[in-house]
Amino acid sequence: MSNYLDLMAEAWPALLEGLKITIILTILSLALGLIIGLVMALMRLSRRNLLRAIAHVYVDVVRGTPVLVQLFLVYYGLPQFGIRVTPILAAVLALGANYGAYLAEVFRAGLLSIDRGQWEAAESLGFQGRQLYRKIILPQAIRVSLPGIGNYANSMVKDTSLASVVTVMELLRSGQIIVSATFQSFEIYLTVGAMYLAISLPLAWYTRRLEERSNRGYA
Amino acid sequence: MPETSILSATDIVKDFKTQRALDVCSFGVREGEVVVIIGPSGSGKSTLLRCLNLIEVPDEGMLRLADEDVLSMPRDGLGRKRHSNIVRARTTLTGSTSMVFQKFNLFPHMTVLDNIAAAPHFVGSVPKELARKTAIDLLERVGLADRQSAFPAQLSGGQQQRVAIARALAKKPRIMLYDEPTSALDPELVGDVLGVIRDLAASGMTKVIVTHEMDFAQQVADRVLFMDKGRIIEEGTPEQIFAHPVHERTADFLRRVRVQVPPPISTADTDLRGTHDIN
Ligand SMILES: Nc1ncnc2c1ncn2[C@@H]1O[C@H](COP(=O)(O)OP(=O)(O)O)[C@@H](O)[C@H]1O
Ligand SMILES: [Mg+2]
Repeated sequence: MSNYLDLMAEAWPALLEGLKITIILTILSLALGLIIGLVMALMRLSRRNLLRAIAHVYVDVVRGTPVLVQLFLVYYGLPQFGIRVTPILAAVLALGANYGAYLAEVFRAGLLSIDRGQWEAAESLGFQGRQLYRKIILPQAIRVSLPGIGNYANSMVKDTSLASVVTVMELLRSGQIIVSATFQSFEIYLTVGAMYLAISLPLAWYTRRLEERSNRGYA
Repeated sequence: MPETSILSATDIVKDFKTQRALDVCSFGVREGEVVVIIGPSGSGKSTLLRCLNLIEVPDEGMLRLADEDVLSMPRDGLGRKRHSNIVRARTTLTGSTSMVFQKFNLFPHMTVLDNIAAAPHFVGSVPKELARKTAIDLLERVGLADRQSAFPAQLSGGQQQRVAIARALAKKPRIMLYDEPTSALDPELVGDVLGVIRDLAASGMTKVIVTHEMDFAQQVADRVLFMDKGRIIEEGTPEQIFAHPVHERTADFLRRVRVQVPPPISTADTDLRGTHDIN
């Protein structure tokens, strides 16, 4: 036990730094994913064939290829075209783009679940375009989408560990480096796992709170 | 159509995939007039009403609001401007009409007060406080002032429909369109809602009402239209339509909904039919 405490005294600052990077990666990638997802879902429902086709191809291609391939494409591929990306930026772009495709389906299902009568009532009151979506449709669609979003937010916490393969010093990679110096694999990885839990448990609690709040007034 | 119509639809045709819902219908309503549309289920009553605010876009026909030609189909439905033509026409029509739906269609994520204040505030740019104040006044008029912070799901059907009527009135329409406003209600709740609609009739509001409540129709209508199979078969005063229908189909329908009707003159020899319960 005192052995473990000694180890932690040494490893803790690096692990905390990794935890910080993991949280930042999660927030940025999720934000990008939500934006891409919502835009793609709205494009899927567009009147214009071209927009629908683009969204369709995007979702199918991104979901049909491994996220690691996408990550390598961004990190190693873009520089070939003279576009330099930092490891963190590459991870955010790849994870955001990847989750965007899945979240597009979540939002799309949410939008499709809205009763036709809601659109009709809103239009009959004069709502149209952006305002119709912002005030009437999206609040209802997002409520329906919240459980799905919560799921992907939880996955994102863990999938940020993929960024370790492009040298981002996030939580897992910090752990790996400490292990390679101390050979205390069990203790370190157990601690790393616990630290992921320390993010995902409060997140799960928070999304459930959000769901409850958004169900306010519903039968 | 009479020149004096505040809203008119001329030669409207509307096809759905497998069938014709409106087969050349013409119809107009004058300022302050209450027109009631009756007819069997599937006869095109809702479709006609929904063409009046372009929730349904007709395939053929003209829509006029006061002295403005709002939409002329198929001409305005062709080419690149199709969508913008229809949006512009709908904006014009929804600026002057409000619709009350069979299933209320209140916004479930908003309180009663916000349901009513939303359109005046967001669409009509009325300042929020004023929109809310107007909403509270309207809630008082429909007898629900105490439920302003409830959500729709916490109300009974009759209460929801009264909120929907207040919501429709809040944007100060010139014409109210009612599509079977009591058909989704439990029988004991129908009276309150009809009462609200009727009292607003007394206030001189122009109305087009689709309903199966024949007593109510008789009470409030200035003019009654009978529709069948996508056509307007017959129209007249309540007295003419309910007591002396000219067409056999009208008489038949009225018998089925149990309005006591003397048989049409031409078929007087079949006078026993009126006493049969055809339902
Ligand atoms: N959205 C729709 N899609 C296909 N058919 C429809 C649609 N709306 C109405 N119809 C058809 O058009 C006809 C007229 O319908 P409707 O106007 O709702 O009649 P009513 O209101 O008199 O009961 C019916 O046969 C109905 O099935
Ligand atoms: Mg109907």
